[in-house]
Amino acid sequence: MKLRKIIAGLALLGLIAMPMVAGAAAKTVVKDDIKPATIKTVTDKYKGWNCPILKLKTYKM
Amino acid sequence: MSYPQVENLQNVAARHIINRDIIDTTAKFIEERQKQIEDGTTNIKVSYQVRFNKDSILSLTILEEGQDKGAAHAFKTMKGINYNYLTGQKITLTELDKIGKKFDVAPEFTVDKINATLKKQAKEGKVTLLSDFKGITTLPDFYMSGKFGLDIYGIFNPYEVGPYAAGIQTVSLTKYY
Repeated sequence: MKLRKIIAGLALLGLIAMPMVAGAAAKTVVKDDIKPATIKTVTDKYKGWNCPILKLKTYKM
Repeated sequence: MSYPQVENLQNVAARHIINRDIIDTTAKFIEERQKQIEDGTTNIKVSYQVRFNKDSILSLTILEEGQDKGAAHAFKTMKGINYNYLTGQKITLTELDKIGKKFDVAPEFTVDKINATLKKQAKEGKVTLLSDFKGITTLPDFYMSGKFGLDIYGIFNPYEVGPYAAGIQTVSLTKYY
């Protein structure tokens, strides 16, 4: 009888724990999907009108 | 000058929109002083800072520093640009609710509310206002930051709300609502 109760208790625990673990895993996946943007630095040196970013601005990307 | 460009976004359209907008924003600094640059009567340095870069939000500040020949002092201007890097959409102060973030207090930024915040912070000595400060008339530039949540900081360049000596003032707008 005791053994039956223990087995039933474990089964019930499993029923509660399973969705919790699955939920946590799902949350992790969602969070991992949104990775930070990778950013590179563009460095320009300019003098007078010879400014690369102004040329880039008129260029259609 | 140095400015950022995003690289790894899966949404190629979003990457193009963001990179194009960063170029346009940065180029504006140069265009505004094009004549002086051409004449060689000014020196400009442009740099940037990443303020927030996670959970689909990219917040950047672009800083222009320089000195005009014969001017009494140097100039400094900061601009804030904010994007949803999943969609490429620019985030504005009036559209913050769209990013679905939970703030300490749900923000609804209006000119009047920000003016009230500025005056309150000035009383606490956290902001220096012009002696004849009447209030801002348009919503300010801003950036987002925060390790445990998201704070909104208004950017106020010299003479916008305070004197030159106060420099660029960044004011938390979320904590005071």
